[in-house]
Amino acid sequence: MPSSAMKRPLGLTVGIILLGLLALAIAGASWLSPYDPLEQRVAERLERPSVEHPLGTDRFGRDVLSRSLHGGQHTLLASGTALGAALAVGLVIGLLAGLYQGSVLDTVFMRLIDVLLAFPFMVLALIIAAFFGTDLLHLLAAVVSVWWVSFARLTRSVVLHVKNDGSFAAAKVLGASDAAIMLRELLPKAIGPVLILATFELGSLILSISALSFLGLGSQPPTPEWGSMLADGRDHFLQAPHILIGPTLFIVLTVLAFNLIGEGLRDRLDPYERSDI
Amino acid sequence: MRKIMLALFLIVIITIMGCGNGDNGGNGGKGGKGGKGNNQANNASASAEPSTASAAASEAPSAANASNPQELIVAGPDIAASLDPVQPLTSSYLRLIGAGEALFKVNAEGEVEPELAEGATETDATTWEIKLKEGIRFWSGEPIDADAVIASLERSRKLDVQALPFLDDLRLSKIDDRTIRVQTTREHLPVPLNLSYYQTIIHNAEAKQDSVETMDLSGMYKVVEFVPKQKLVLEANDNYWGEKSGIQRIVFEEIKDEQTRVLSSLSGRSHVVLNVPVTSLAQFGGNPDVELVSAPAANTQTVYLNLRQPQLSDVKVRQALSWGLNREELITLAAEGQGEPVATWLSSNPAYAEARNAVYDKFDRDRAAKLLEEAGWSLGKDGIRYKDGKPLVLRLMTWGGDKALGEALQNQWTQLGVKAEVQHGDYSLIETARESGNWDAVIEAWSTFGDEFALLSGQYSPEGSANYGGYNDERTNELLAELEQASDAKMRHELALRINERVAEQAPVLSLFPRPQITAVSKSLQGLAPHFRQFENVVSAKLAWASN
Repeated sequence: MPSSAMKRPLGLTVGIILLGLLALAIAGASWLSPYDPLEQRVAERLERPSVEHPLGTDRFGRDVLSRSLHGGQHTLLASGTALGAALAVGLVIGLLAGLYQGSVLDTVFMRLIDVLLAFPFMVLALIIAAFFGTDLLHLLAAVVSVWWVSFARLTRSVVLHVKNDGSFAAAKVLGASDAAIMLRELLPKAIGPVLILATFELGSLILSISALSFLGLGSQPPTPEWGSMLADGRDHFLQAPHILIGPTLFIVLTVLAFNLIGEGLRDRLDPYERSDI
Repeated sequence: MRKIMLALFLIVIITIMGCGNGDNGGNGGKGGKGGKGNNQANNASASAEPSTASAAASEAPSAANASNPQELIVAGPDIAASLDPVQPLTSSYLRLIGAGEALFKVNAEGEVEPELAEGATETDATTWEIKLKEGIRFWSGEPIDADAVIASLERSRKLDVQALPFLDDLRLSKIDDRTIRVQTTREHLPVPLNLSYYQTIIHNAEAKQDSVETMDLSGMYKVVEFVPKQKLVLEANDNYWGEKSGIQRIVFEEIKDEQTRVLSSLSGRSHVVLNVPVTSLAQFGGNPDVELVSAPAANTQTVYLNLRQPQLSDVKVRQALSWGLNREELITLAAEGQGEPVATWLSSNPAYAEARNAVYDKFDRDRAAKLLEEAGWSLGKDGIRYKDGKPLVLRLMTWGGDKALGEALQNQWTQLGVKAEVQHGDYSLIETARESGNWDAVIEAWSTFGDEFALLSGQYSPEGSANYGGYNDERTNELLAELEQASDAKMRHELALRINERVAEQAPVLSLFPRPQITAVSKSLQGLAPHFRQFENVVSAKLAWASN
């Protein structure tokens, strides 16, 4: 067996195990957290990691481990929600653009995608925050309004490929409606590649949502969220660097897990990446 | 794969930094540096152990001293974009660095003293006579006489919008070469105070002020080089009319990033560093070469309440919010222990420090809870208070560096049964919310130093520009009317105190603590006097190199 074939399942396995452990820890934050993530203890502020506080405490004396675990719930929920919405929008637009290739609808969608690809994502998020305020909903709106683009492009390219298949021609000849073709012929074939892309995109999405929260555009105090925890810890970076370690570690491990899973899935499912072809 | 490598690299870097700072963390609440009393003296040295960075800096020779012991390097977050004193904020930088002077100045106790003027006399309710010092001259050697002063102030009035609040009510005329008559549109206007603000620095109106070669001011230092928003280089004015400083040359640099300014001080590159962030104090701990000068600004960190909101229209609720504040804890959490609680708005002004603990003399959560009960807000099972089925909600909007203060307030009010929400964002969001009326509470820090009537009416009269919450109290208005008419300084002081106390009782705003203002000063330097307006009081004739 080629050595490359040995490595691929290992990465996927490690990613799945890592993600599983993280998911368990984050989902079970209420049971695993040693402290209330919101409770301030002035006497214990800026304490270094210890048995009582494995990741130390922040400027308010809040336990960093507890906040990191609870913060994961918000970060992952926000990322998952944004991904789901972007995926849905991207799939619909990609299917329509692909099915009606060359039409006005296709042209409009493609030019819109060109514009969005050229538009700095952070600037868009800042504009939305400036007009509508800073909260998680607005942050998600900013993310979704840009993130659907890559899904739409991939879906469209898959649809264009599928349109050359005999099954598509058969459905057309048999008089199937466009909606039925989209749902029964195109969507099942597009969903696989799009889901692989989504696995990769989730890692980027977590980083982007954390970056926006770092800038103060996401969850509002005292809700723990990885990006905002990093922002809060920045003031005490030299005095108490441990404040940053918890959220950084969780972000890195989560993104790492998703990237390993994404690469593993791609290696297994993408015909161009398979060594036996 | 590159993402994975980057992620692993980040973990390693952060872990190394975490291990490398071991002597330094974890004593914020228990150790000395976070304690209440650190700021009681004006000169405060942080007592924490030195950090790795600061220890290294203390062992290194002072770069600035080594290169040129006669050159004083001052670093601030901003310097001028122009040399002309009528351009926004330029006059503040020129005064800070010893280039510009006004007719009067304010000392560290908040008293107005003559600077270019010899003195001022109020001849009747609307007239003052100001006598100029003898022999005062611009850098060019031109005498500073009544004509020159009037021309300078008229130019500022015409060209500097920020000078208008201080000059708009004044009509200037010459009595003789050294005497100016000032007529005021309002009775008993404190003219010397108005003419002490940096916006009124005296400059030669005949000279072109936009270049180093032609600008003409009066200070003990002359500008010899200027790079906008980068540096201002000054040399001693050999023809200065007054007491001269022993320092020959000053470089005033802009270092925007606060952490870079801190490192500039710790490395010995800068002798004076302005606006040191409170979160950096631990870095200076034990450093033998740098002293921290902490002089709280005459600005009160204040929560402004919107009295038009139903839950805040009840004075008992507002009083409860104030009684329920542990101000010392707020200072520890939000200002790293730098400051003293002030329970009334005016008391961050040194002249009104006596009112510091008026009305709300202690933290009293029980009293706060009782007031809320009396107002009909009963504690629910979820720990939140309800009235007619509605929860007691308070949305606090914060901006800039006030996020931590917002979280600390949120926590204290939550313990009182108030469902406090913090919305942190850009200041424009606060302005928009205020315009629409859709806000409950915001944090601001207005200056409490100046003409008492102008300050208090601006904050608390129904038409006051900073009366955001719509406070309109009959008794306060009566006292403000009395203050407007009061001629005697002692009477004005007394009335201001009564208004201040009345407002505290009615609680349209909740006063917390003075805004911290910390300057790092090299121990090779002596004579920097702590001042509540440090931003315009750095260079003086007393400034000198330490003898050893």
